[in-house]
Amino acid sequence: MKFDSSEFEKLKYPIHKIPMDQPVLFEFSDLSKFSIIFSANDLPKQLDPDLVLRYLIFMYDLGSPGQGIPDLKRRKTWAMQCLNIEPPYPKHITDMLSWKIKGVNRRAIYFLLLMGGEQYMVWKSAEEALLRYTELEIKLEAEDEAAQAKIVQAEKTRREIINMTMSQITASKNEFLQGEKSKDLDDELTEFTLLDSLGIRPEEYIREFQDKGDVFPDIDA
Amino acid sequence: MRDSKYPYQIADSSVFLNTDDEDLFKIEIPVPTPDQYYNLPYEEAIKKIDGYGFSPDKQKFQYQEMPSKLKDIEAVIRKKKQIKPKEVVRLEDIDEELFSNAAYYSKEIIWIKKQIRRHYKGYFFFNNGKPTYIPGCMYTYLNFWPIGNPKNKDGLPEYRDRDRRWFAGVMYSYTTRDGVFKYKVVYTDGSESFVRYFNNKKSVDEFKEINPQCYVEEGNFIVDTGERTMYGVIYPKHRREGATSRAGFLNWYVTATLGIQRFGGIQSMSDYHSTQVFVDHIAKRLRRMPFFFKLMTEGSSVPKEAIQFTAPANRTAGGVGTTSLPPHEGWINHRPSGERAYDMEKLHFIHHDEVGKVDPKNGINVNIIDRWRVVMKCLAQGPYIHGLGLLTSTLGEMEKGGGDQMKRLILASKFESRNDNGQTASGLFTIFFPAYDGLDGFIDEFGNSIIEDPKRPVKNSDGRLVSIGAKTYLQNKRKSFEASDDQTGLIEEMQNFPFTLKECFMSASKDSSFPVLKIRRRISELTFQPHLTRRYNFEWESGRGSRVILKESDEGKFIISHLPPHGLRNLKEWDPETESWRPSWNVMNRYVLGADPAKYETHEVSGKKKSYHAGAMFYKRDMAIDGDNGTEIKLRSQWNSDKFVLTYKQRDVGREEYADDMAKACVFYGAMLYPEMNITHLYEHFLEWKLGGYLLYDMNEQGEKKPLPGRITTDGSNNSAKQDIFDTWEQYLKDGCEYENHIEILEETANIDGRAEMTKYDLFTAGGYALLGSKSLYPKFVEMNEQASKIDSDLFGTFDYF
Repeated sequence: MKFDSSEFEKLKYPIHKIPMDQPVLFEFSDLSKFSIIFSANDLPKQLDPDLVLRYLIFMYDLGSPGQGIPDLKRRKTWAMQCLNIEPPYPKHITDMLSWKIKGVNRRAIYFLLLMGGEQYMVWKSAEEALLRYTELEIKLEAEDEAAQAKIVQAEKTRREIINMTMSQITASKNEFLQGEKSKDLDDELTEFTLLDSLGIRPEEYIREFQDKGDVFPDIDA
Repeated sequence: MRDSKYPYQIADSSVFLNTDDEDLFKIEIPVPTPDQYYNLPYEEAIKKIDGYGFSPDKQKFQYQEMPSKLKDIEAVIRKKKQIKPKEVVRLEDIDEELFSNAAYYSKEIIWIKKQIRRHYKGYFFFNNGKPTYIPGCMYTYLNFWPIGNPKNKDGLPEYRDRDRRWFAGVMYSYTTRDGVFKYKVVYTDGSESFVRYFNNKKSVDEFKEINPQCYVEEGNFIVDTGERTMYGVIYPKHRREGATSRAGFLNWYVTATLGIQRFGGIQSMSDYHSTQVFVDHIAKRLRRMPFFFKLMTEGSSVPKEAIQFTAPANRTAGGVGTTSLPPHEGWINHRPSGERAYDMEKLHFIHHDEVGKVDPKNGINVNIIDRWRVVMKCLAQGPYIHGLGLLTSTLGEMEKGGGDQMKRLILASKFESRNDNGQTASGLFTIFFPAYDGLDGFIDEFGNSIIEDPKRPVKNSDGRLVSIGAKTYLQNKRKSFEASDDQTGLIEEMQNFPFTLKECFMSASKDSSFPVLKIRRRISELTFQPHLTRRYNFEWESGRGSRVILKESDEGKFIISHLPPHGLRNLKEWDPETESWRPSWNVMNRYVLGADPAKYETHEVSGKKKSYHAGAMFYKRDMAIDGDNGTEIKLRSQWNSDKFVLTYKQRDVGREEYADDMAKACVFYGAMLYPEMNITHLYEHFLEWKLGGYLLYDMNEQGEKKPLPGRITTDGSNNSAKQDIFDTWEQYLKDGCEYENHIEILEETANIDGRAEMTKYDLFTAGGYALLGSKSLYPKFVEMNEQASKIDSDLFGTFDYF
């Protein structure tokens, strides 16, 4: 590594202390909880899962010196240097950097979730609120003009809230993604949040039940 | 809020299992009440229950109706995406459709979430005026697990109250942390008091030695041990009652839906049968589950070997699922029937199918107890149990080998018999329903069993009127067998439709002159009275020929039901005429030890089936204790004598050790040895050890003892020793098999199939020799001689002779 190790002291996952021939996944308990993601067999053969994880840490760990490089392209080059990889990059690295590999994208979403849990919660709440307001049916029956005016007002308020919520979604999503703008990454995230919002995929509610011993507590059984 | 004008019944707070069976402990399993389930006051809670507000006769279990929009969703997606009829609609397409049109599907999404919630939490419905709880697993089973029930348009199972209790029982075994203990011990370390619980008296005594200040309380303590205490359930099932379907369903429920990265297995009596259970009762069913219960799996066709809950390799190749979420990564598979097929694996569920059907003649030769021991380790990590075992077998089809093993497993699965860890010996408990509970045709329209005769005819679940209960119906069938004196038919009927656990283990025998039904009944009774016999070893106090002392041991070679009073043990005297020891004349006419030595020594049996060295001691009717006393008649059932008191059956002992064991038993009891003399080593050893006076001879017509003791086994149609043995057994069994205490000897009499099988039934043969020997007049002859001598001696002492 061409950098002074003191620059990396603030890393949440201090991987600079771990030799390159030693996998980092099981060095950190909160990462290893997601081992099913970070060690999944869904990468091109040339791409080592450990290298991907190190790359994500250098890029998106909130304590990484890379956070001081706002330009994401430059930050990626820097992260590659941290991994002793210099341009021109082979195809699998280029694909990784440009979010062309689904397995990398999925890892990135989970890693970002570890880094930006709060932004994610804001965003998710906003998504849920949006769903609620979209589903809301104004059922009051208008018996007189005053009541009719109330219904119109209620509908207006509902639309305003929907618009506000959508802005909130955009802002919190951007913050969560640390400025990354890629359609592939966005799709991965949409898929992730989509399912998270409905929560009716078995892979998801089973995890929920396993962790909390309950699912959909707000639903009347 | 709805209100009801009907006075509904109060919901039960528990269900009961194993009621009304003298050999089973009644188990109470708590279930949620409406107020607990809804977290509302009871009166408010019941208003939320399906069926509230209707009259009781209209309140039944109702299947969930899939909303029409969800029924049509695949067709909608096919149209939108122009998917060809042969192509699969992927789960991710359904997710996309739902989410993209969340407002349109909002009610349907809530309906799906409700199903999932009930899948875990369970469900309440009003059933004939009573709020009734069913566990989550049963809810999904009834609504979404098609079993091919012809009465239901979707093939879904019928609601039965018996199944509700069954599901509650199995899931209780999966969750309970309760231990049952006999002893509560309060002790202190000097500053603080602590409590420990035990079941083993010996452990309590040891603990008391270390903590002499402790206080011991005896009772029946049910204690939360903090960890799971049960590995699962053993269930003798009725034919075609749906237990295999339920077991298949629970395999999926526990393995696939109670957590990720979990593994389920199946073993049956053969590879063919386990494949059948896997394919017919899991793989095919899963394909028809609604999409919100379908995990990602590899491949879309019906698997024959295993279901892997992993992401499909190719998203467009017909794989079931999507790669967008981390997959479950578990599996359900089946393995061959061998004991170690799952050794070293981690399992969360195992179904051992047909555990009572081991049949060595057809190559099905599995030790189901060893196999369960292996699998127990797969279901736990050290003391922490994470899995569930379900062992099932069809009643009436338990073959000899497997039936015996299943019986042993059931005996080791008594709910109330726990070790000091609060667990049963097998880690399982038995669930048994009498045949009249849940019998086809005797289920009312509410799913309840019609057991007793109803006061007025009631409609059953098929819509027919039923005027008698299941119990009367089955009793009528039994009576017809009894009327025609068809023992075999009656036993088969009782085993197929047992009223009690005991009756499960009555197996039908071939035509026999033995009273097989009586024998089987006694065997069934003795199965649950193991305390009537104990295992012991005998030891010479100071070398062969000295006094014999008794040592109780779980591994003892002798099974003993009666010991002579202390003053009547080791009574022997020197006979100068024969220069050997013999029993004292006042005890020698009591006990006869029949002996059937093995034909070969252990080292001689290469390539031959090993036989056993056997011995059986018969206690002749003892008039001193079992005679009538004046006008007072002592009933046969009160006798201590006229029955077997000791058995011995050992394979891996040498001839000398066997002879030594027989000698010790004879000396201790004062018994006479009546050996099979085709092999003479017992006779030779007794003579060599100066114990010839313990050998029992027959007398000839002239009142002289025969030259050799015992008998030589001969075969032939008439007057052969083998025929004599069968005749004497027949007489003994007809007179008093209901008073016999040795199950091991009765089992051989029940199973033996004619004279040709005598070589395989060593205890039967030894017992036969004991019965034959008990008829010998020789001891009486000796006794009379001794009494005559005594009189002579007295007379000599009275008169002066010149």
